[in-house]
Amino acid sequence: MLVVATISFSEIVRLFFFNLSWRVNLNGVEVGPDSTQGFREIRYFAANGWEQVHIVGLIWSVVMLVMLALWWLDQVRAGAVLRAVGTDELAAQSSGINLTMVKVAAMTGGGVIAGIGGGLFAHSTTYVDHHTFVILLATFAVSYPIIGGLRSVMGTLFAVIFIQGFIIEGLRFMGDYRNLIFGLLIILVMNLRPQGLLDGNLMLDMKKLLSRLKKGDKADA
Amino acid sequence: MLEVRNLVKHFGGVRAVDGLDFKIQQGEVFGLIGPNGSGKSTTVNLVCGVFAPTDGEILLDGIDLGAIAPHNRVDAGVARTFQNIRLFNDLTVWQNLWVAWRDQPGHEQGWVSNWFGRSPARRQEIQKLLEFSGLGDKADHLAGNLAFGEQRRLELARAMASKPKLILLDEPAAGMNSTEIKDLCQRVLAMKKMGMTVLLVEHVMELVMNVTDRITVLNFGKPIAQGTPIEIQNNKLVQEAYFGSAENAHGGVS
Repeated sequence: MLVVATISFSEIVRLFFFNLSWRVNLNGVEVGPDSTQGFREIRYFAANGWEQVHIVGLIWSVVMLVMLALWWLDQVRAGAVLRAVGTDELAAQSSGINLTMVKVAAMTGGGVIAGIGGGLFAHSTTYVDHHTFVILLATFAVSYPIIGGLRSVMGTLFAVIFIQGFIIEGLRFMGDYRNLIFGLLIILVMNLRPQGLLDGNLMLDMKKLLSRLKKGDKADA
Repeated sequence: MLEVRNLVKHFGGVRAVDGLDFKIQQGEVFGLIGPNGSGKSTTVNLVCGVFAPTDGEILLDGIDLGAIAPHNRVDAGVARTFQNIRLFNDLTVWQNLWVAWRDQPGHEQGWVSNWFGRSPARRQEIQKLLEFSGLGDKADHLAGNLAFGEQRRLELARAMASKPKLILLDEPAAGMNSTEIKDLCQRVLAMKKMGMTVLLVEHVMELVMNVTDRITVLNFGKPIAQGTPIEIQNNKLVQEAYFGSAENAHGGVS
């Protein structure tokens, strides 16, 4: 339900900006959203002489920072509470968790991350318009965690790289057939591995393997 | 300590609980029994706030629980277990307790360290509770991977993690074999010894008759008898509610 509501809300926002024209004169240049033309001339990077490699570097550093923050969140009680609410709302409420507070906090945190992503996107393409944020993008965004594992940060990152890097870019020569492959992938994952590629059990196994390797190193030394 | 006054809950035309009164004394184990559909589980759900009552009052130490939001009832001192086990399956065993954890009164951690800290002292306390529950060596297992009996014990431990004054056990012996039931009896009695008050909703008489101090029997949402386990066993009305009346047994076959 939340997915449907989120997608509908993104469509409302998109249509709002499709109609919004609000131009401001800044140092002799008209800037701001211009309905169908979108918000153009976001030229901070270009104006300050950033090169492609700098922008890529910035984007990946931000990705790493966000991943680090999410990993940290998973180590503290707040993370456990988030997972608890995701697993069983009634049990969480009966354990004294304020469901509304946790859900609003989670939505806010997601919004912050999406906002950072949107800002980076706007700056690297120099413009944002309503064409970019159609339902297809929302569908992709929802599919990443489904394929990667709804409860795993690494899984989601893996899914983004796999879908964007391999299916969208790597198979570009296949044209629109890529959408079929994408759909097939979702059907396959939801049938064969509904919990996503990386789930709690797999993560725990990997952790155990890691600690065993560490212990092995110590024994050697 | 817990006082239920004229509690009524209707679901549409069904009167699940229909004028229930009882009082639980501090430190006792109070049994709520009755045939299927007599309103026992509904009563538990009303006390911990899953449903709002149609009418009546629930008082905990004189405080009206109806005015307290469900999640705040834990801080008021009410914790529960579920009839069908509801654990946080993809959290580890100790994290399940961590989510529900409340520090000892007077030793509460600040807001930041409560949500974003990893206090080793708290982790030790959790480990102690796990050891009490016989789960000491399973702390890092996923809750969903535990055996059935262990999951039941973990749920009980999770309820105890919030340091409740009153603990509601909704059919804790469901699906247990007799060894596990004997173990559960010991646990309930140990909880009583620790000063907790227990409301036990149960079908399994082996458990109810061995651990409770007093019992209320429900039938069709109404209390039909109240007393000590011995009194209840010898009560005519109770026998009729469970087994049918003697008249039907002798003359009913035509």
